[in-house]
Amino acid sequence: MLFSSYTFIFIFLPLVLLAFHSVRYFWGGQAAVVVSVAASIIFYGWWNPPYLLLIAVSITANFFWTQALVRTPKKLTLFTALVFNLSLLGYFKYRNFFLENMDFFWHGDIASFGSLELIFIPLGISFYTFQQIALLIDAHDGAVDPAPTALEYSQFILFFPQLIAGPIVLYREITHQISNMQDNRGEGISLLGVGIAVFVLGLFKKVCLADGIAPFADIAFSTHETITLLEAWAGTVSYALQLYFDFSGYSDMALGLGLMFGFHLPLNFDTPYRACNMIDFWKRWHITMTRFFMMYVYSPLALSLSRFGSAHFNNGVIIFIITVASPTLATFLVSGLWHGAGWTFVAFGVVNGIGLTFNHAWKQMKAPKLPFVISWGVTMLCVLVSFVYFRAPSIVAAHNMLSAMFDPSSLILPNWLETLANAIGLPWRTLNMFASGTFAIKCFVWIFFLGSLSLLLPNWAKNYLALKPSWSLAFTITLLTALAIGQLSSPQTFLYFQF
Amino acid sequence: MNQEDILRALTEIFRNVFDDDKLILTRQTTSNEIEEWDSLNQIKLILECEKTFELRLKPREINTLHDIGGMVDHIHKLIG
Repeated sequence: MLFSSYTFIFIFLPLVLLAFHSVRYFWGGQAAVVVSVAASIIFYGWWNPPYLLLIAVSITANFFWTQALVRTPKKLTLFTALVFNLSLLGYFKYRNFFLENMDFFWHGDIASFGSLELIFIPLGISFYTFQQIALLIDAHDGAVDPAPTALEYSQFILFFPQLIAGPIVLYREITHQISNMQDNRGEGISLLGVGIAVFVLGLFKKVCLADGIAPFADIAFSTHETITLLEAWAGTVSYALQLYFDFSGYSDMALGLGLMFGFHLPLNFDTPYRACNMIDFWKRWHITMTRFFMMYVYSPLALSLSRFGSAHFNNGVIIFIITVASPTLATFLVSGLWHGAGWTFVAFGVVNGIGLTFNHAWKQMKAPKLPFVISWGVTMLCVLVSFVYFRAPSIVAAHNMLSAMFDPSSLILPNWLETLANAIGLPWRTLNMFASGTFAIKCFVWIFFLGSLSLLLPNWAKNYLALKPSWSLAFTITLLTALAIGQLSSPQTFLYFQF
Repeated sequence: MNQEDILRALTEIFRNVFDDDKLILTRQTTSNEIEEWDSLNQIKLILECEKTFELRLKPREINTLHDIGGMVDHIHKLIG
């Protein structure tokens, strides 16, 4: 049941909202939270009921470990819980990747390691596992007090707006909201209007914008073997825009849904394509995931290495490699693998890690600030290269795309520009992606339109409390709703559901 | 060392780390107000605080603090 499906919008959501707010009104906030948990279980089970068993096991085990860690913060308990969570994630997400690589390195002797099986990755496993890992570590640190009740814990993990693809919520930012809701002090229905506005914007971003530009990216990446320079750039930029509007659309919908039930979920996107350096980009892109990696991977690693580096070395370059480059690359390597079990995702992480390391080195050397246009261009170039790996079906495909993008001999014009090509002395032929002029023009119009929106569109999800009822807002929401509903007949799955 | 002394010492640390002699910290200052605040500078801040106040900080402790006031109180608690 996608957020952008008829079933969700016209049946599931209205029924659950009605039940939640009615129950809250007549029986109180605690009963309403029970409704929310029950609805979330139905929502999750809709896809693949057997995976309810897996999430139930994960939640039950982690709930008891959290209780134990709040009572007595033992390292062994934390270690056992982390091994359990990472093993679960490892089995479902990385088992086949591991076996395929064993097969490659041990020349086909895969039988000694295990057999490849078709494993469906349970929806949202990366997200709910990370939320639980963060809570376990916080509980061990003594930052969780009091321990959550079973109902609070279930609401924290299962709350359907954030269950499948984030945002990755920290317990400390939701616990008081759940308590308030249970004690009838929550904001309840007062946020319904603003929640609908943010949801509609997200829905429009997804079904009208992301799904609209998707075909251009799809055709480019599926014809990577023969792709030319113009097509490769158009396809890559189209994909970057598709990914942004798809995932930020999903995040807006999640935030809007949270508000409809009286909960404030954290912001996940803050106009990332306005960033003019890689550090800034990662402060704006998938914010809650970056925060998780910074808090639970990068910071402990960087701090330990900084203490070690400054105590044992005097050479500035070596200290930089130990204290800055290594933790940054390691963190982005893990982040890449978190996104998916494949070498393309590893490469995605490495490219971003290298970009950030250069950014830190530039700052460390106190090098002069580049003009905005240059720094923005370099940042976007790094982002686009990393997205090629993110989207490509294989490393070979990614390299085909990249060599077409950066090899001047790949600049071949389409046959319908034959006269121009002859006039300026460039080769031409019938291209796969730009076989027709209409398709090419459509592609460039989409890129121009969405590119402008990604830079100029105000971030409603960030400033939703500033949205005040007005005729212009009502008109905008009605228009966006009408446009989005018109596109619901062919909803595409969200790109981040695969993670 | 009282909380005002800690805030003064923190201001010096922040000015060094962010290379900004005009930086003024108040108890209400948050990380969002300092443009250059990133994960690396946060590590530098922790290391400088450890040196100045002679204590050990955990990075996650810093992440849970909402503003500089929280940081002052936290350091005050640790150094007794």
